[in-house]
Amino acid sequence: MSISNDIWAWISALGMIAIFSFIFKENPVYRFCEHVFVGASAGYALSVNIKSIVDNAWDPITKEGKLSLLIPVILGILLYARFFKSIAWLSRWSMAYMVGIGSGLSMFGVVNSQLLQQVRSSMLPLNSVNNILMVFGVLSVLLYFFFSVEQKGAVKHGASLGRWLMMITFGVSFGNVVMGRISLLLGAFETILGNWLGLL
Amino acid sequence: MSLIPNTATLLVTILTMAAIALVGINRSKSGAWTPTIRRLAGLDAIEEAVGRATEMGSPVHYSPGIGAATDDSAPQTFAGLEVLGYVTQLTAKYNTEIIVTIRQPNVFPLAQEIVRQGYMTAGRPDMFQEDTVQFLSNEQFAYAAGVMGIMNRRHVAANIMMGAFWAESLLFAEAGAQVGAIQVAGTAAMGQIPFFVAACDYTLIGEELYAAGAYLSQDRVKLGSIAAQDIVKGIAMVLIFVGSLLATAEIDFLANLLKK
Repeated sequence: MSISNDIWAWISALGMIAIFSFIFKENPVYRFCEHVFVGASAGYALSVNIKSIVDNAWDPITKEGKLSLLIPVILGILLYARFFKSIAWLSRWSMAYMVGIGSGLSMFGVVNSQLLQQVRSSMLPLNSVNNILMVFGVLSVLLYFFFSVEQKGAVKHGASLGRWLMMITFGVSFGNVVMGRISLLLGAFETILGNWLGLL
Repeated sequence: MSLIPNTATLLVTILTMAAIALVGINRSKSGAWTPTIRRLAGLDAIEEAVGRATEMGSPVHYSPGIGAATDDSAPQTFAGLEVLGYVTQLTAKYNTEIIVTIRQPNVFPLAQEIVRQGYMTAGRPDMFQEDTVQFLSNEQFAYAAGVMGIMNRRHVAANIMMGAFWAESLLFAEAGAQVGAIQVAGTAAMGQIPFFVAACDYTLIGEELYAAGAYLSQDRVKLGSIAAQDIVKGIAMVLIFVGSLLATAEIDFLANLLKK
């Protein structure tokens, strides 16, 4: 056994053990690490954002004379208007702009990938058990998500089948992710037992 | 001016959906049509959860997810914020503390305004404190660590999570279970629903989250919108069924049309 001399291997391993200690209960060691983690990420985010402003706005405006970039800069500054009661309403302009752009840009992708492509991919020839299961599975799950129709009679049976199919899918998905998480856990053990303690 | 190739059907679909939504909303608003929404057990359980927190004298924790208000996850975030308004009013009614934790900087002012408005609507503006809504970190797992710590230190009795969640979903649900909180969750992130279903008391699955605002408020505009979406789903079902029958007969007309 040869314990690592690298300070970062120590910090990494002790940090992991401290976070793992939450499994038993919340404790001062976990709390310390939690606050370091939250604080460090806030500091990191601040530095990344400042760099982003310098690279994408300050330098192009001052060095390249791209004055059109003043528009997003002003919209960004307006977000801070919410701290002043008399002009707080100005911050809504920037927020409305961001939400509008976000909705507009996502509309194309969402309707295309989550509606049209899905509908097209579900149009399968009903010539095999797999395809029949797939088509009627999709239809029954869609039926479950009808909100304005009361679930009774045939609708209830269809929706119930849809619910069962979803639960089976969730079970499969749960199992897959648990396997993935176990591989992450093994990676953490490797860091502690291998990189730090030198046991592996 | 010309269309981007292979987007004609997409354009027609978006316009049709918009038209159906507009007609549905207008008919509902004018009273010509009264859509109803079927019972959603997860939403009915929220009052039970807040009531339990009141009995125990412990706070309610609320997370509107980790999605932003400006990207693909925005619809989930807004649905989560809508439920937040309702939960805030309930906590005001029962005089129970609510702790709202936020990951996205652009969601923070929205959440703060919704909580402030919720307290005002309930006639309890005095209950709003500056730290009722807390921005923790915009780094996913730092936010998760913060939420888990708050849940444990404050011994929350109810944990309500509505919005877009990713890998932190099970961490939150486990931390909530560790403190014995009653948990109600809702997300449209398909990969995370299994965790909520396994670890929470009640779960809103997928689109149920989007219907939450209409269900809780019974607002005619929102009810009309939900009913209009049902019509679109109905059309999608008919297209799938007819498309499958045509595909069985080796006619690809409909599938090809959707590619255009």
